[in-house]
Amino acid sequence: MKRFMTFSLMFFLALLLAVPAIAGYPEKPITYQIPFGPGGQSDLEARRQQPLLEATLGVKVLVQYKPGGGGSIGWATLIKQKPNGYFISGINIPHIVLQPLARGNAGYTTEQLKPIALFQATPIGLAVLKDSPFQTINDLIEYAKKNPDAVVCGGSGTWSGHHIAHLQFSKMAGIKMTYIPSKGAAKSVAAFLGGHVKALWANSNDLVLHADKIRVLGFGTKEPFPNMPDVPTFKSLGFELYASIDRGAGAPPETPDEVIQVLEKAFLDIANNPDVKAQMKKDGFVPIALGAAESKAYIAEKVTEWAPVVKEFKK
Amino acid sequence: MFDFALTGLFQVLMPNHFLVLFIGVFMGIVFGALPGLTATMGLALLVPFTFTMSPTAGLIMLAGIYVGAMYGDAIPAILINTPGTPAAIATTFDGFPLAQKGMAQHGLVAAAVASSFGSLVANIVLAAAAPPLAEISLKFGPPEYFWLGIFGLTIISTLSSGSPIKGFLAGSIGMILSAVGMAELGGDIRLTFGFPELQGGIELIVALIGFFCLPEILSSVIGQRRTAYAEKIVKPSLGVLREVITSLFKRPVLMLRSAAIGTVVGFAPGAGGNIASMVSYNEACRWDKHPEEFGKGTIKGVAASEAANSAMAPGSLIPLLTLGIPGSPPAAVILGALMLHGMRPGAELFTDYADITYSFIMALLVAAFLVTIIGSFGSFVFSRIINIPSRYLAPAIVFMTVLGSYAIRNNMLDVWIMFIFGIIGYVSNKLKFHPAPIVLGLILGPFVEEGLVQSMLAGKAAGGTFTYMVYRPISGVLILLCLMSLLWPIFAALRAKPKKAGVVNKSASEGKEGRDESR
Amino acid sequence: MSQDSETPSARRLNADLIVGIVSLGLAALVYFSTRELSKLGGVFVDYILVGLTALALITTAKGFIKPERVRFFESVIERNNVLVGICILLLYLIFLPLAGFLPASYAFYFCFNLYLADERFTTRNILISVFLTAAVVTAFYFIFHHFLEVPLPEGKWFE
Repeated sequence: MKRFMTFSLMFFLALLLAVPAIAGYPEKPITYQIPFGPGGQSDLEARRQQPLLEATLGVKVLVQYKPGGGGSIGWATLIKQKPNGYFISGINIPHIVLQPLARGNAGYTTEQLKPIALFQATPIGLAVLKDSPFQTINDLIEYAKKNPDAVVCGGSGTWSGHHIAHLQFSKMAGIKMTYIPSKGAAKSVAAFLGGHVKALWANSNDLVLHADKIRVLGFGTKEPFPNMPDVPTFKSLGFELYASIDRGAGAPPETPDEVIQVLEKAFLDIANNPDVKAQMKKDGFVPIALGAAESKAYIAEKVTEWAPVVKEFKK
Repeated sequence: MFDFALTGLFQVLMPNHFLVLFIGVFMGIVFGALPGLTATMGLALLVPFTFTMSPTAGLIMLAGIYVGAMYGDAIPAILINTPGTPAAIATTFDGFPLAQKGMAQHGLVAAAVASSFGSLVANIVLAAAAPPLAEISLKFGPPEYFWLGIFGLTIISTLSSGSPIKGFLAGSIGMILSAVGMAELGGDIRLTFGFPELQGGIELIVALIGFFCLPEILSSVIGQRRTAYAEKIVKPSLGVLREVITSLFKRPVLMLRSAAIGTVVGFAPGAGGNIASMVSYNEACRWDKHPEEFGKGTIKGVAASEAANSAMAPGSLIPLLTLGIPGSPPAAVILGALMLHGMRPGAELFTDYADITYSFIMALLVAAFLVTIIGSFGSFVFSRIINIPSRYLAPAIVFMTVLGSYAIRNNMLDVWIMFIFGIIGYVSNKLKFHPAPIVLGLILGPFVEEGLVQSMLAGKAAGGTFTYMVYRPISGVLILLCLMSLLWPIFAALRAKPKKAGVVNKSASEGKEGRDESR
Repeated sequence: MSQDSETPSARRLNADLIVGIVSLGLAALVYFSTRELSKLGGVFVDYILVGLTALALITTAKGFIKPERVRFFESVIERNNVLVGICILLLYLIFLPLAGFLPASYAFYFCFNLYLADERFTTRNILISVFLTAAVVTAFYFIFHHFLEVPLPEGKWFE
């Protein structure tokens, strides 16, 4: 009897200690920061995820905008937040890799952002208008070899995914082309459609949107892009160029792994949701589902890949 | 197309949709009116609400918000010299002096009627000719943006006719300020002096509140202990409505020109209403028989500014609906809303989703009428706001602007910038160095820079930067406009001289000073 | 409010000179902070600096030749009013991140309201102040923070 009583007491005590851990996270509303302004692609994804996150996590998810610096202000804010899991942010690759590399002080370092998951990939492709003389990538390279700097390519931003793709491709093909950055994807597309640039580095969703007016010469993916299967990948043409904008979520450094796991599961559930995947594909995105550890490895891989490129071209 | 338009109209007039539109317009007016909150923010905050509704109802509501905000920003511009959104800067030039004279209601009604008219004209253009206009808007390349920016800057010479040197000095300071933060085109971080939060640059609205709202409070309310914001009490009455409406209808040229400027500037992607209202105000002043009235409180000035900035809204939707390229930040949010409902911009919108699209366009139209009604009747209430003793009103205003400044980017630094600019604005006003051109420089700096740098890059590839930037049709037109704008004041002064020798110098300089001092 | 009786110490300042010199200082500051920019990032700044310096020099020159003189404060009372007003604002902004939005705003509204009233510390004024503070500030806080879910500063002291 006495043993039974002790045992029960111990059992209850253990239960009591475990209960806070189980009923722990999340209890309060979670702030989901978007490091860009409203209306952008990151905002749209977050809005799509918001009700699903709230259902899975059981608490309110507040979408908050903190634009500026191409996202750097948002990430600089993220690393200063308390690592209790109640403040997370959207993260974008290559931004979080390239910004600290290219700028003296971006306000944060790549390693400080603790990835939760990556859920969307937007392959980058090189396109020309339908009436352009370039039918394939080789036409473009031929022309560029004979006329250095004459081929004008547009893209969004400097030291961005588009810019890096341009630099890497120019190096691999041994040509010189001019890159004209625009403020944002929408403006770069406008410049392209208006004929102000001859070729465009663009995100897959923009290319899908305007598919009837353009010809895509190549995509920076490992496999052909599902929405446009006839377009060759750069790899198949002989260039090891993998370019895409990837979106995910991250947390402040030091956030406990258990908390990350809860969030990771919530995001991966959404990423694997068939309706979400179908919607993404329709809009021209590639749904992916990388967990925390895989994301971290992917980011580290990209750092190794791009650090020398930035160093070389940043005079 | 007409049958679609009619069906769209019927959709909008259905009771539940109409109610939603009314609520949208009302909320838009509120958002536009609260300094620090913008149309963009209002749309972004209310988009989630629209998820619970059908796409038609949701878009109708967004239409209402957008149109309402284009009027709402005039309210604080007139009452407390603070543009509710950057598009209403020019409204303060004549709006606030009107309120000072006790004619706040005149200003508010003029703003409402002009806003509606501008909206109306632009909507008709949108419904009738969207695709071809969109093609034209694409022709705006880097050189065009550069010359558009320069043209905007030439307005400074009119704004500060007292001393154009100081005006351009202020303008260049403004352009330097616009360089703070990340250089979009170079990738460098500029002028942040070690503050990483400054990477995002100086937020325009924060600068506006700082330069326009705070100095007024510091000088009148605090410094001179004025008990009320205006010198005379406002006594709203129905007669004012009739007076203003007839007065504006007698000036079709003014109204049409302002609306036209707004529509055109609206569909140059990115230019937005910030410039439209100022260009329109400038032109209204230039072509008027009594330009010396501008700046001292005339409804013509308010009407010119508001008609243009409301016409901008449908204008910015033209490239959005046809090409998926948002012409302004609020349009970008609407693009997001469209995408979330599964509607992709392009030909699809006008064929597969034609019923929803035309409901949206008709909603913009009907919202324009609602603005006149709500605005005119609201003017009775709004204009009385400045009758409230300033010791109750001023703390509330400061409190709200602090809230607004913080809420824009969730950044405490913005509130400090507002405060510092407030002090700078106060000091410069005292030194007769008016801050309006600084704001103009801040707005136009990015356009000029973007145009310049991109043109340099493209020009190098094309063989010659100068040739690239000048020998183009649209650029040519813009360059001519710039030259005209710069040389006009000289031309006008020379033309007036022979007619009234002797008297002319006195009246010309009186007119210029009048415009200067009443700011 | 007669201002003339307070003016003896008000100097007339040379507005042009002040504006010109401050602008030159600004130009110098910007010049030295932007020498390491890339070509694309620096070209715009350089062009504007040229214009700014030129205009600043002209204004300074005008300050010597035909200056525009202004009286900064019309009276000592005005100067004191403005300085106190600025102080109240400054304190508000400093306490905002420390005490949080609501407490700091309450304090600010209350103080500012009392300061602006003519006879300051009557019971009636204090009561009106408290009432209005509570009503106005709380109402806005509710609408923005709870209804529109706009984030507002949390106080460091209360974390």
